[in-house]
Amino acid sequence: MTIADVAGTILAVVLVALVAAGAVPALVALFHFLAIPFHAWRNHYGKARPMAPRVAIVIPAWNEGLVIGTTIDRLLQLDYPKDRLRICVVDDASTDDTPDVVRDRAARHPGVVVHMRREQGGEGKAHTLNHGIRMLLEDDWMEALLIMDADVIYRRDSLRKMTRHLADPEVGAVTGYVREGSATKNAVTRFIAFEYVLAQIASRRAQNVVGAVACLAGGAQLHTRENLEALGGAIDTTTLAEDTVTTFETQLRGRKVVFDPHAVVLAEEPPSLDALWRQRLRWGRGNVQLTIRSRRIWFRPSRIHGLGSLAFGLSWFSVFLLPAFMIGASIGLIGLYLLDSDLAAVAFRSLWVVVGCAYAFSMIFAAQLDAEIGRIAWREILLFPGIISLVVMVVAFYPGLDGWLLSQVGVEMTPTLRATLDLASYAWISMSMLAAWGVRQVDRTRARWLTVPLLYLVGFGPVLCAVTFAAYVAEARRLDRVWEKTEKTGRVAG
Amino acid sequence: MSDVQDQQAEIDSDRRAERRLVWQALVAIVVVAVLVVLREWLTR
Repeated sequence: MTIADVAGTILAVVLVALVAAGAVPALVALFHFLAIPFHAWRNHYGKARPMAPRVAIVIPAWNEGLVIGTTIDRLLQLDYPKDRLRICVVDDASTDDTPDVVRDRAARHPGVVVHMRREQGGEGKAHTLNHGIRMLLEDDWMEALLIMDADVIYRRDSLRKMTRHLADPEVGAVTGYVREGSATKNAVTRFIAFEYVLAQIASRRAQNVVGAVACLAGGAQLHTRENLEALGGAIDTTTLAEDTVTTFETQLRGRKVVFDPHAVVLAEEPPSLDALWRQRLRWGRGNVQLTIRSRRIWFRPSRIHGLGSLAFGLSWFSVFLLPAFMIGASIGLIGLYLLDSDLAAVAFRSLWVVVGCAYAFSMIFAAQLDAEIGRIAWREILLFPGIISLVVMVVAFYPGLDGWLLSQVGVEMTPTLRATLDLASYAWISMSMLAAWGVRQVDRTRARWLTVPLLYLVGFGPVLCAVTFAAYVAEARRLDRVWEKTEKTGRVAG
Repeated sequence: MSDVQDQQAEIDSDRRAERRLVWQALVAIVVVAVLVVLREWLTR
C-alpha cells in the first residue's frame, strides 16, 4: 500500500465522519422527542398544589400604546385573587400614549395597576425590568414575580396554572407555553406557530424529563422572591439573552425550573421574515454569548443542576452547532464524490434515511401536541424544511424515484444529469442557509411579494439555521449589541 | 374556579392529560414504520 493509498483512506474516513456527524442533530432530536412521552409520569404535577402567593407582574414597556391597554385589561380578568395581584408597568420613557393608557388603568384600579416611569430610557428590556424589580423588592409585599412582555395575552387560568408549582419549595421559577396568537395569521406567523410547538410544548416537556430547562419564555416567567433575591435582585444585562441567563443562573443555584404546557399565553410574533430575522439574530447572538460564558458547565454532570448532563449538552449543541454540522455534511459528501461517487451516494442515502425518519417522527408527533396549530399550519408543518429539501429527502429515501419521475416527463437520466443532481443535492444541505439569507434580502426589497413562495421553497428550518450562522458572524465581528424592539400591532386573538 | 378542591382536580386533570403523549408518540412511530416498510418494498 502506497502513501497515497493511506492518505486517500484517511481522507475518506474523515469525509465519512463529517457526513455521519451531519446525522447527529437529527439523532439527538429523535432522542429528545422520544423522551417526551415520559412526561406522562416524569412531570411536576405530583408536587403541585393550589397556591396563590402575592404576585407582582412586571411589564417592561417602551411605546406600547397599541397593546398595553388590552394587556392590562386581560390581566385584570385573570382568575386570581385581586388582592394578591399587582400589575406594574415599567414605562421606559415612552414617547407615545403608553403613560396615558397606564395612568388611566391605574386610576381605575388603584393599588392593583401601578405606573412606574423611567425618565431616561432606551437601555433595553433587562434594564427596564431591573428598574421595576428594584422598586418591587423595596417592600415585603411581593412573594412571587411574573415577568412578561407588553403584548402577551394571558388566559384566565394561566397564572394560576403557574403558581401551583411554587408549592414545591425546590422550585425557583416556572414558565408556560407562549403560543403564537396573531389574529391574522400569514405564512411567517404560521411557521412560527409550529416552531413554538416544537421548541416549547415538545422540547420543554423533554427538558422537564431530563431535569434541565433551557429557557424561561420572556413573556411568561414566574420567579419566587427567594430565587429573585438569590439572583442578586436583578436580571442579567451583560448579554442579549437575559431570559436564558436567568434560567441557567436559577438552576446553577440548585433551584428547579418547571415548564407547564397547560399554562398558555398568547403572543403576537413578527409578521415578516425581515422582522423575524432581526429578532432571532438578537436571540442567536445572546445564545453565542451564553454558550461561551457557560463553558465551565457543559458536559460536567453536577448534583446541583442538570445543565451539565450529557443529554442537555447534546441537545444544546446539536441546535447551536447545526449550521456547522450542515456545512460539514456538504463538504464530506462533495469530497467523497470526488474520491468515490458510489461511496458518496451510499453516505448520502444513509444520512437522509436517518434524518428523514427523525424528521417524520418529530413532525408527526409535534403536529398532534397542539391540534389547533396542527390544523391551521399543516402546510407549514409539511414544508418546514422547504420544498427543495423535502424533494431531496424523498428521493434519498426512495432511490430511483427521481429517474422514474424524469422518465415520466420524457427526460432521460444521463450520467451528466445524474452527477449534476447528486452534487446539487450534496451542496444544498449547506447552500439552503445561503438561499434562506437570500429570501430575507428579498423581503427587504419591493419584491417582497416573492418572500412567501420562496420561503416555502427554501424552508423555515434553513432560515433558523442561517440566523444562527449570522449570529456566529455578528459575534465574531463584535458588532454593536443593540437591543432592538420587535414591532407589535396589538392584534392578538383569544 | 377558585375552590381549592376544583384547583386540585384541575391539577389531576392536567396530569392525566399528559398520558396522551404516549399515544401520540405511538401514532408517529407507526407512521414512520409504514414509511420504512414502504421504502423496503419499493426498493427491493
